[in-house]
Amino acid sequence: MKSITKKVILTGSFSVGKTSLISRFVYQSFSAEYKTTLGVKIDRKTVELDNCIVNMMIWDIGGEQNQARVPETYFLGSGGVIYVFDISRPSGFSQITDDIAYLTAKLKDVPVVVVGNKIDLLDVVTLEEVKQIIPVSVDFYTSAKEGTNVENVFTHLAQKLVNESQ
Amino acid sequence: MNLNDYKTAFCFRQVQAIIFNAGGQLLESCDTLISVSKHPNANLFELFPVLESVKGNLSSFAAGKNDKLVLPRVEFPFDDQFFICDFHFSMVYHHNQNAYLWILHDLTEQYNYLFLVQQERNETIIEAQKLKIDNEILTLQKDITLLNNLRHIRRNLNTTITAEIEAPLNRIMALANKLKESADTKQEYNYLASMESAVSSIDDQLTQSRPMQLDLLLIPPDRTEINLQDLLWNVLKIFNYGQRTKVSPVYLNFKPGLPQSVLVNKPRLAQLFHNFFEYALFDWGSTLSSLSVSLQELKPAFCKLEFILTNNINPLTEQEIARLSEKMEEDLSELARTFKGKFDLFVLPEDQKVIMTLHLSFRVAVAKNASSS
Repeated sequence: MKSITKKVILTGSFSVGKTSLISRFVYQSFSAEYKTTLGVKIDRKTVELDNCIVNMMIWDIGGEQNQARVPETYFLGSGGVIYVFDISRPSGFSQITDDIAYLTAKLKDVPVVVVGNKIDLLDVVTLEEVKQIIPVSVDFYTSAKEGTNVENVFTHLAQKLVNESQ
Repeated sequence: MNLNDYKTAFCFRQVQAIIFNAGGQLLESCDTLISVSKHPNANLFELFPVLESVKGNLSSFAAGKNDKLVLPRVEFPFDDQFFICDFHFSMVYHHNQNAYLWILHDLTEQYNYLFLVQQERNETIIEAQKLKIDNEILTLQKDITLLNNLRHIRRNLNTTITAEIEAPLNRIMALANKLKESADTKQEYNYLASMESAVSSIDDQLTQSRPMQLDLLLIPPDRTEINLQDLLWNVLKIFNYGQRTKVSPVYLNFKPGLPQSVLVNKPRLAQLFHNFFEYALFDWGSTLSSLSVSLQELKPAFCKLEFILTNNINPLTEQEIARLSEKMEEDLSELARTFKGKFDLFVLPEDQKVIMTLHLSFRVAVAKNASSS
């Protein structure tokens, strides 16, 4: 079976759950304790699709209040981006549009998957209300704590990476 | 030892240099920080995911071009130890071949301090955001309490007013109905019918504003099923007294296909029709000749209802039309907005007909198993 290796970055504001998403995806674990990521941590995970094996080098980039503060060298050679925001913190919604514009300008033709994390903190009604005020189209709503949609995020991106490489 | 020696000794403890080739094979390492040499046969790309990630960037380095790549604050574990280092990559010429130099600058202590500062900063920001949300919730809760109090006051007031007014109104309606039976002339009968209809409209408004119905906000007030033609006739009856000198009565022309029953806010629609007729009768007086009502289906269960009041006996002057138009614009715009309706006034020049139209769109109730036509 065909195999590709791609660098994938998880980025977004601080305390949105990037490290937790990776912990859930790579190690099937979750910790409620908040521990900031200072720079970058790199993990590896293989995603098996029907037609291809995708070796993901997952870069967990320390959260900054806006993406312009992230060292540019972290973005170099990225094959895909997972932009994460905290669905339970509406104060951060205003930054999402600018962040995604910055990323798409920096990483041309690189697929960006937008993820709203921490859905376990909202009830169904509130979640639907909050979805109405998010300024961008969101690809997945996840809960790293409960594992909701986490696999789907990475599988979806892996499929996109395969499509891009063909 | 001179100063340079001290400096070198200090840097020596903080820096490690590793040289590897394009295939990831270790060529040389000083092992100051991490003992890579313990894994002589290991491929560094497999040992360090960060290296595999930057493989593409390294391969673009050109010999002798001084290309370099700096990755600050890379967190990584090695042999059960945790490091935070700055990585510097560059191309070197090593033992007659091109290779990559990887400098690891250990800043774990400094970055651990920075980590604490950043952790505190982030926690403070999150706490401040949480506090702001809590304050907003408190403010909203206060508003809700205030609104509930106001609603309570209004309910009590409405209960009192409604009970006190409805009883005499019902007596007036009953009396007017009784007197109609013994009316001597058609004109007298019309007066009583007018009075009965007008009082009925007020009674409907009161019914609509009953506290219980106002509180049931989940059931919008526009859910009353009414007979549209009856409603129009009833409203028109109010104006009967004003048609004493009229040669022919207003002719109500219901076009085929008009629904018998519709779901509407009956009192408010009656009020709208009342205003519509009032404007027409006030300015056109006895010369109003016909009212036609037609229906146009916009989409299933939604219709446009068109009312046309036509005057072709005694056409108004241009000034009178302009004045009437201006008056309608001012007074009826709010009412039109409420019902999403539209008013127009125009003249057909050839036969001097003055036409006032009222366009309304609303949902039509269709009984189950009945033809939608």
